[in-house]
Amino acid sequence: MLAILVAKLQAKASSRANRKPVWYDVGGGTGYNIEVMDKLVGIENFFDHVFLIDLSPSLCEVANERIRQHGWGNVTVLCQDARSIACTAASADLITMSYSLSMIPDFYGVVDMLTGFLAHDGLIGICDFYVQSIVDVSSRNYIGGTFNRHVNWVGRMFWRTWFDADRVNLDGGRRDYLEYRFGTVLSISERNYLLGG
Amino acid sequence: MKGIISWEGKFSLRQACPFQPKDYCIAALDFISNISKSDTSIPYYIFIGCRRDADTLAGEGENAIEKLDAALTESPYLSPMKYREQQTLEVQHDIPRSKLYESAIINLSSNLPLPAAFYQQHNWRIHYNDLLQKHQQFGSEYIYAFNWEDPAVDRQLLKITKNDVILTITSAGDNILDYLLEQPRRIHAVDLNPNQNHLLELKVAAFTALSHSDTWQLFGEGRHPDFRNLLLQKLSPHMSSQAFQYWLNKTTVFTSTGGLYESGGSRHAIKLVRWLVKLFGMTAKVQTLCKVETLNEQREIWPTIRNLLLSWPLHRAVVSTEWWAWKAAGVPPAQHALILNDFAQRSKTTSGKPPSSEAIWQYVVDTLDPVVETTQISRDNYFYYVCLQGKYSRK
Repeated sequence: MLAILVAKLQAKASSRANRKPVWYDVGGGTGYNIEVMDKLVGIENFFDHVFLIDLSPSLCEVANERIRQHGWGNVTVLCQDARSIACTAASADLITMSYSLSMIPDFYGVVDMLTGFLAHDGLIGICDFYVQSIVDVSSRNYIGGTFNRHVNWVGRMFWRTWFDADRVNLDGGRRDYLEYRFGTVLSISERNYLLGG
Repeated sequence: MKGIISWEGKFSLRQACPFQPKDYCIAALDFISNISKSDTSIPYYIFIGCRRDADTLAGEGENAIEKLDAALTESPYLSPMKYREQQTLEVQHDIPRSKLYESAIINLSSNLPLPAAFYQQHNWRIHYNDLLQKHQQFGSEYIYAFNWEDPAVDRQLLKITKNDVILTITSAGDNILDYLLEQPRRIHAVDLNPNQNHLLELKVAAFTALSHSDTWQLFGEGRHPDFRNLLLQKLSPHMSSQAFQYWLNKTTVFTSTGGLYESGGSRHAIKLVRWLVKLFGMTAKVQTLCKVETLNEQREIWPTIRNLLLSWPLHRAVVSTEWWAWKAAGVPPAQHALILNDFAQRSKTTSGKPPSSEAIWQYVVDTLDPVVETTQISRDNYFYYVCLQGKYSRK
């Protein structure tokens, strides 16, 4: 996902008039995303500022340690609830959420808030687990294609229950709400064979 | 059937039945047929989004939808500020509207985001409904990985100028790229099979974003070991959501030994020819056919290969069937019938209707013989070269 976002940002860079982007990684955990991004483009070179937001103090600690090791001067860790992020409207050029949307109970409010933060030509990238039937989306023309979207009902039942135990909620409403609140640029449904077998 | 009836009987006793019995049976079948690898893998998604407000659409500024529509349909651009006047005008003159415009109006009036086609960097692909049966019938397979029609001939006949607007079937998109050399005003590429348009999009994106060597590997050799990374890092900004999700699931096309030119529906025909050549030990002969420099040498080699490809048993069993015509050679049933009729008319002297296999055989003979008689496979006829060799030559 990060590779796609970088490609998109670079393609847009010409219209940005030399202003470096600001990146919010919501539910960024240990900051692994930032490390991957560093390998792709270099954090200090490419970004004006990077904010990592996570509720868990222990994860934030690991993230701070990672920042110290790499010596990034423009990364800030905010150990707080995603609902209470303070950010100027339309100031975020990039917002990412990796496997965190499914762990936020009040996701409607958070998604609404992020809509306001996103700059006019900004991008939001979200990667998460989901289960959904094709019936849910068959009447929509704005979701950018339905290739691979359908999960059969064994899968829908099993994964939902399985992730429930870890308070990860796979209901289709989260992805649906994103697609309702944002314009879809790219949307991909995949299967992870490494974790599941 | 029996199952459906008995469930119906059972449920009609209880009014508050939570699901339709037919649905239940379908779900049960779904269950049985789907216990496969895909059940043991976790489904996940990647969503790349932007602000949905229409006024922030890439580079177009105000009235983006109307301008885009005017460009796509070749109809005059009308300001939405005069929407009412416009409506009456539309009734009077029956101005064509693109599907894109219609879908945008519906979405805006029901407070929904616009179709993904609007939020792309390039407005190359028009929105379409991928769930319609007419598009779904092809599954996820294109028929042609390359074009058969010679664009050089097209250009001679059409004499394309800078003011021309071209409407063409996409097929593999090669001819469209060729027309672009003449810089026509606009090309509308249409295809019933959306996968053909995905292929065209991939080609256009590659020419936009990749180096010559990468592009050659993809479409010259038909193979690229690093296709997935190219797709993610270089091509993704230039592709529509549908085309991107399609190719992300088809990365093996370029990493498999057969490559691009052994993919798609027409691969059945191509593979069959190659397999027969191998089986009858003619590989060396075909190699020479693709190498020789003069027509005379080519004509000398041809008869032995011809005997194999046009042998009657092969023809009866495979080539003359309608399935073969549509799925492997991309000849729709209507065109198939046209060939048969044409043959019937020409051979009117003989009594009765000639069998379809004879008509098709004659058609194939009429096609292949002149090819070998008059064109040089090693130099000019790259269409047959790619079939026999699985890649283009650098010439």
